[in-house]
Amino acid sequence: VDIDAVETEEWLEALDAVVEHDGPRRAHDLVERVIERARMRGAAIEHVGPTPYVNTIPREDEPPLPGDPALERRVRSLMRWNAIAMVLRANAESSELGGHIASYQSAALLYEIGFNHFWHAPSESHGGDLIYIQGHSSPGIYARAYLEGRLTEEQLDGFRQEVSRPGGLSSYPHPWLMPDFWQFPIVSMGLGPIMAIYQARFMRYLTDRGLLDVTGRKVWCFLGDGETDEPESLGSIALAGREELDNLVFVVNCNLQRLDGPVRGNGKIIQELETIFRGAGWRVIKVIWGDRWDPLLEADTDGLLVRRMEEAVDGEYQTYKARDGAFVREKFFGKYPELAQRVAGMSDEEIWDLNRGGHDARKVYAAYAAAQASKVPTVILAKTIKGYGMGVAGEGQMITHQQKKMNEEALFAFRDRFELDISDDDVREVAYHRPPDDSPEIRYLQERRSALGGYLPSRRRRVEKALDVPPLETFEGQLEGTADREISTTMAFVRVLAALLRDKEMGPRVVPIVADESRTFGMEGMFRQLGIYSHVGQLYEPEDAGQLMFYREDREGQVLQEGITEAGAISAWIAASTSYSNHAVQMVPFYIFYSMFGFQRVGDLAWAAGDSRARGFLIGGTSGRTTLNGEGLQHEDGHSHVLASTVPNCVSYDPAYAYELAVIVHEGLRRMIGEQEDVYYYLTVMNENYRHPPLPEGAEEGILRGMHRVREIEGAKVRLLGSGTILREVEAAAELLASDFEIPADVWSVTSYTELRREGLRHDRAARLHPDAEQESPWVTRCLGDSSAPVVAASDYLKAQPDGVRAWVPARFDVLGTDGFGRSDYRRHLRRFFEVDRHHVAVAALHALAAEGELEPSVVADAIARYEIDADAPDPALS
Amino acid sequence: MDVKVPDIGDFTDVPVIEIHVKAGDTVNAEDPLVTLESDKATMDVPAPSPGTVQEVLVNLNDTVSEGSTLLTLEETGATGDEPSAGGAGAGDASADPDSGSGPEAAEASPVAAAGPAADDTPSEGTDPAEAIDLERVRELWPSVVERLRESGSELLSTLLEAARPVALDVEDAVLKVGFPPAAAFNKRKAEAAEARDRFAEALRATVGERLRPVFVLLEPDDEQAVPEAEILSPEELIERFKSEFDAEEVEVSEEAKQAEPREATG
Repeated sequence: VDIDAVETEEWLEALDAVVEHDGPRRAHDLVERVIERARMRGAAIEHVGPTPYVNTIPREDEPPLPGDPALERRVRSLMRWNAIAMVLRANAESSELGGHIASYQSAALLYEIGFNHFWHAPSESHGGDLIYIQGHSSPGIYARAYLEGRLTEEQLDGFRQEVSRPGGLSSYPHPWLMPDFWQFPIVSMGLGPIMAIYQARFMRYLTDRGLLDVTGRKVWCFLGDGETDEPESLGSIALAGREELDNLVFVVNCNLQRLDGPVRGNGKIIQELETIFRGAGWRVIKVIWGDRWDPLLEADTDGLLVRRMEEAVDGEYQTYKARDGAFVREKFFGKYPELAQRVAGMSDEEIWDLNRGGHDARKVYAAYAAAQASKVPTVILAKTIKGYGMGVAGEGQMITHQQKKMNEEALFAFRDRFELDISDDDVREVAYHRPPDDSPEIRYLQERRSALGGYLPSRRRRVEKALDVPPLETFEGQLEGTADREISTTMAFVRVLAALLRDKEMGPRVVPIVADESRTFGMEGMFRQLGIYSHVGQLYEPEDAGQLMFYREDREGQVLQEGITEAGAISAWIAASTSYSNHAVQMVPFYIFYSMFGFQRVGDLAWAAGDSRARGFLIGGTSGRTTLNGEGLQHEDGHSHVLASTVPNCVSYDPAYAYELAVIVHEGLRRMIGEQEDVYYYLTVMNENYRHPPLPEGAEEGILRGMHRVREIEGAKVRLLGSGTILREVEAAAELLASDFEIPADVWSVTSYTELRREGLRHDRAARLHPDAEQESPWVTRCLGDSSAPVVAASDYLKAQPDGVRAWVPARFDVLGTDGFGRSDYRRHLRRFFEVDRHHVAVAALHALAAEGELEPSVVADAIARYEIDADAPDPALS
Repeated sequence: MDVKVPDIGDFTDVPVIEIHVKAGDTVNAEDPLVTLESDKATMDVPAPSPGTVQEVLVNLNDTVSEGSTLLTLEETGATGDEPSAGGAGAGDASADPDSGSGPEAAEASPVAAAGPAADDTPSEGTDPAEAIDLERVRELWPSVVERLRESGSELLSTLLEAARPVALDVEDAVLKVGFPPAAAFNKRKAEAAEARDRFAEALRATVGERLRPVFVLLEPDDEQAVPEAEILSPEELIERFKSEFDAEEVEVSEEAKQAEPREATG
């Protein structure tokens, strides 16, 4: 209720006068000051919500469009046509292959303005921008590469047919499948944005640490408005705002639709995103209306049009563009007679032609230019039409996202609408269309890319000169054993890292990454020695400043302390582990985390890391279901190795001793850094302290292939396999068998069931496909094949791990493991509960011998009694 | 100087698992000297300042605690003021003004490092050298700090509030600035090359003399060794108490911290 309408009117008139005489900016500043004063005087003015539903950049501030806009439109139309042709031709036979037309049609201009005017390829003068291209737009990117002469028509016809057509094109951006073309695998919704944020931050890290000057390079990330509902999409935007990452630009293609329906049918996605991003410290540039709206908006002195724009919800905006001009006149303008009056002089066609900002080159260019100059991260919210140009075949319709058909009529309409010079026959055949090299279109396209340094996307496979890998002796401290000292493999790992950091060449390239928890892993010593990376340094004196291991933040700090975000930390690791490709600077990242919160929590990013050809180490700390004993069900990891085994190029190990760890890390460095192989390593380390023996002579090969013998007895009657900390239970079981039952047992340390299994599978495949050729037995068979004595395996992981090598164990094989939910207690109680302690291993060995007829069954019963095992205890697998 | 096990938190009786230096080795500040191992973490004890290792006093697997002496180090650049160094002839040559400013400086030949500095001093210092002494520099100390603050180096000026000039070598134009034992953090920050340059510039602008700062951490013994020839003014006394409380009494330092910004902004 307005208690004094006259006073209100006076204030408003005063403001009008300011706008008139000093312009809108002055008015803005004045109002800001008034609000500030009001707050000071106690008026509880709450947050300022979204800005009006109009373009952020006023018309008078739009820079002129460079280049030849008309020609660019013709080039763009060619992209559109060829992108459609690819999908239609791939689906001509049946719709089995799938594909998307509508996404690129809505985003074509957003990409083309970038390709023609903003995005640099790596060249002498520029390090290159990094473009995170939205997966569903890939047909348009292929169409461009075709027009550039980088892809052939045969390749376009191989869209989504990489197996049957040599050089076929992957459905979405996948560096694994197209290693010379795609840089970033981002079709899984939400992963692109979070990886782009950490990429931008990593680039700044490279600069601050003096490793690479990235000045002028930007990260551009495209995402869909529907995609912003994934927590990963917006979950890390505060980091970008807080760090003022001026090298980061998000372009949200707001076509208002996702697969099933509208993104925000009852609201406005652009307004919602604006407030979220502004709150996170981003510059928000809304590109909502095209230039044909400008005269109407300028005439809107009473604000009625803007009011109507704000009233209409996205569900209505979608429908407007699926109908026609008369419909818009009636439903949009017709709501208010005054508004209808304002468009009375316009034909239905003119009303239909009122365009959206994301399809207006001048508006998009203005937004990009502003983003380029911004001092903070920028998000461009571009309103577009899903299936733009598809007409009745899909424009703005509910089913548009998946539409992969357009009938002949729609194709002719499309050709005419975009004024394509394509013959009727070619339209009927949906033929690709590329004008000759000397045509104005192709020449323009080539000139623009040439001016910007070359073609994009384009991926670098390797660095020219690999870093020298220091010799194994670098880790001498871990190879020679610890004598009487008891340490954990986590501490051994930290020593390995410390030794590597002392290496003159490789040391500076090491990137230790943590998602908090450094102290859990005993890494706080690195705070002081290496410093925690912080772009602004350290603006406060840390509470522990007087201590040896104080919390030191530094602009040149080496440690990435990401705080409590596993998704963020692994994204940082992905940026560092693909730096060889994106920055030609080889880095050696180690991300250490609570193993339970690795693959289980951020498995999709770990999968993307494999696709990205990441090279680095993931270290699962506090691992082992019974070894991390006090934390209980949610923390105690007994399955990350099973999950890691699902990533094809992830090499994983569960070492027990410091020397194994050192040998494995060294081999990882040799393969990933020295040989530049596209694999990454997952190692689990544990927090149980015990003595570590020295490296047995000649053990390296076995350690790396997956198993090596640590106890060898003449005439062993049983073979025991152990992994991680459970190896020590297994060694103790061998002693019990000897002392209590006079049964000699060999003991093997199995460092990787996954590696053993993969080798076995390779062997079987080769044997199957080459029946005439002699195949060398897999390692596990070679290790265990010289005897028929039973084999018993125990680990702190699921029984599925040892079970995976059953096919190649040439003897009776019994498996113990920690299937089931974890819980808290002393380690010895947990190992008894999960039946992986020394007594259960010994009983399992006796049982195997009895089953083979080597012992009387009563011996097993005796052992169960002797070791006080409760035979009627509940099954730990589900209790 | 004796290099002792610094504050390592809650740990006592931890073993020495690696020794990275031997007698005669030259080290830079922050170079690891020995590695200690608790039941959970390993930690490298870094060199507090550049110098030459005289004697290593621990063996592998010895257990140590905070305060245990690990080795003796002949500091580069502070030799003349270090009674234990015995004023060996090397003192002058190793009076490296850049002590602690990083690997480059320490790796450079001492002669080369001292050369240009020696040239500087006589050219513009002969006359004013008579005009300055430690007392004068101490009088001007608050102005130096204030000048830093006004010139935008607020953090640095705050860091230096804990410090005070403890010795002046007029001949070599070296000003030794001491930090209380618990202000190692302040010292390290002030030692960064950029900070050192800004400080030297503020010093020159205030004192009128180009002095090369050398930062040292005062040990309780050293503090007694601070020349007490002049009587401290009340302000200086307060300043000194402040800095000492700053090191030992958290409450006082908190109050001091809270009080200052208010004055500054009011």
